[in-house]
Amino acid sequence: MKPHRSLLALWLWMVGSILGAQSLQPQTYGTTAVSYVEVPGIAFLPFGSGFTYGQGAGTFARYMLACGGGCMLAPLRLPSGAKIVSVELDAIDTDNTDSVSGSLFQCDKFGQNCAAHPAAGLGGCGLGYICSGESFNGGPVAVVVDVSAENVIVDNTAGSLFLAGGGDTTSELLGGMIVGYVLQVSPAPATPTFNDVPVSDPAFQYVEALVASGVTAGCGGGNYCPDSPLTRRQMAVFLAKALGLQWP
Amino acid sequence: MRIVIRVACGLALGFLSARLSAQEGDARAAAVKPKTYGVTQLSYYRMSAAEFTPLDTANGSAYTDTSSANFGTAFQRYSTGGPAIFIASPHLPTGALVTYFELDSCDEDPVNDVFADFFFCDNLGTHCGSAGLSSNANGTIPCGFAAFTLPPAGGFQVDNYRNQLTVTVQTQSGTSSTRFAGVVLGYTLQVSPAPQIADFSDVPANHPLFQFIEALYASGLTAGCGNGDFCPNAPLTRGQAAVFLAKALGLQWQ
Repeated sequence: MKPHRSLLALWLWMVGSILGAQSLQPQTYGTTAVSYVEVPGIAFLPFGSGFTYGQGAGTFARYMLACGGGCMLAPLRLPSGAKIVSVELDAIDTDNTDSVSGSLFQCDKFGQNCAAHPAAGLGGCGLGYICSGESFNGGPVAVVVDVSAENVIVDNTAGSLFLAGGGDTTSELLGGMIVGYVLQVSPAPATPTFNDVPVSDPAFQYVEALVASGVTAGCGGGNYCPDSPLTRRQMAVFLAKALGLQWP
Repeated sequence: MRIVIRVACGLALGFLSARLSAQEGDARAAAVKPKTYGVTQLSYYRMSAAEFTPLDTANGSAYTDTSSANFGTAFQRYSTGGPAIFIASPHLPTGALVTYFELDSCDEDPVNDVFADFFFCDNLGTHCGSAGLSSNANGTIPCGFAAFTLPPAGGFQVDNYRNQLTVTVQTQSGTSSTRFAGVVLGYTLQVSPAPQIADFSDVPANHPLFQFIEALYASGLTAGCGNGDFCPNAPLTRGQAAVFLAKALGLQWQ
C-alpha cells in the first residue's frame, strides 16, 4: 500500500455506527412529504482563489483561513418548482470565540439582488457547542434549522440558489448543510386544455400539468376522458413518457 | 462585512454557473447507460474531473487540466504540486443503493498510482467509512479504467438527511503521468421496506402489493378511496392517473 493511501486511513472511523439500521428519510418525490438534499462541507469552496482551506483532523468537515463566516460557497441543485422548507447547518464548533455560519442565498440570473435566508445566517450554535443532527464523539447535540426560507421557490430559468457558510479555524468546522424541500404541481392555468376537464374538475390542475409536460395529448376530439378506466397499455405510455424510461 | 460578502458571492456566481454548465455537458456526452429510474437495473452517475477540487490547499493545491498540445483532445485533471487528494460529492437521491464504483484514469508512472475511494460519512463529515476502492496501478494500462463493484450484500444506501457521500481521487506522482477523467457510480432506486402496520384496511400486511401501496401513501401520493380503504382492485380512471403522476413528479410548466 502506498504511503499516500495510508493517509486516508486516518479518515476511517467507526463504520458500524454509520451503517446501523435506521429508517431513512426516504422521500424524493411527492408534494407533501419533505425531501432532503445534503451538501457536504467538501462541496464548499472559497469565493476567490488564493484562500487557504483545510479539513478538521479525522473529518471531511472544512474550514477556511481568514473566513469570519459565510465565505465559502456551494451550488444547490434542485428541480424547478421545488419549494424549500428548511435549511439545516451541521457544524463542529469547539471554541469559545466565533461561531460557524450558514445561509441560503437566492439571486437573479445575473447573480445580483441576492437575498439571504436567513438574513443573519445560521450561526447560533457557536460558543463551544456542536451543532448537528448527529452526535460528535458523544458531545452535545444541537440542530440549527431555519424555516424562514419557506417561500423560496426554485426556478432554474430565473435565477440561482447557492449555500454560503464557514468558519475560520480548525475549531470552527463546516460539516455541511441540508436543505429540505417539497415538489409542487404548477398552479392551474386560467384556460382549460380539454373540453371534458373544465376548471371546476377536481383533477383540473393535475390533468393540465400532465398535458403541459407532454405526457398525454388526451383521448382525441379535444377531450381527456377523465372518467374512462386507464388501461395497462395507457399506463405503460404514461410512465415511460413521464420518467423518460431507458433500457441499457 | 455582510454586504461585502454578498457582493463577493454575486461575483462568484457567474463562475459557478459556467462551471455547472460545463459539468452537465460532460455528463450528457458520456451517458452511454442513461437509466435514471427503476429498482432493478443500474443507473449511472458520472462525476467529471472538472468537479473535483483539492481536499485542502496545504496538500497538493496546484492542479491543472490536460491541454490539446500534450494529449490530443482530452480533458483530464492532475496535480502539479506533488501527490494530491482531490475530492467531490455525488448528488444521488435518498433511497438509492450504490453498488458500483469506477475510476477512469491514466497512469503512465511505473511507481505511482491513481486511486479513487468512496466514502460514507455522517452529516458532519465525520465517522467516515471507505466503502470502495478503485485503482489504476503502475502504468500497465496508460489510459484504461479499473472498475470496482461494491459487495452486493452491502451496497450503500443514500440518506441525504443523515449521511454524506464523498469521492476522493489521489494522484500520486504530482505530474501529468498520473491523471484522471472522472468517476462513475452505479445505483438502483429502492422502494422502502414495508412498515409493520397497515394504513388501509383493505391492504393488510399480507397483501402482495402492501409494500408499494404503503410507499405511495407515505409519499403523499394518495389518501386512499375513503373510509380507510385504498380500493386496490378498483379500475383506475384516467383522471386519477393524472393526479398520481402529477403529484409524484411535481409536474411543472413554464
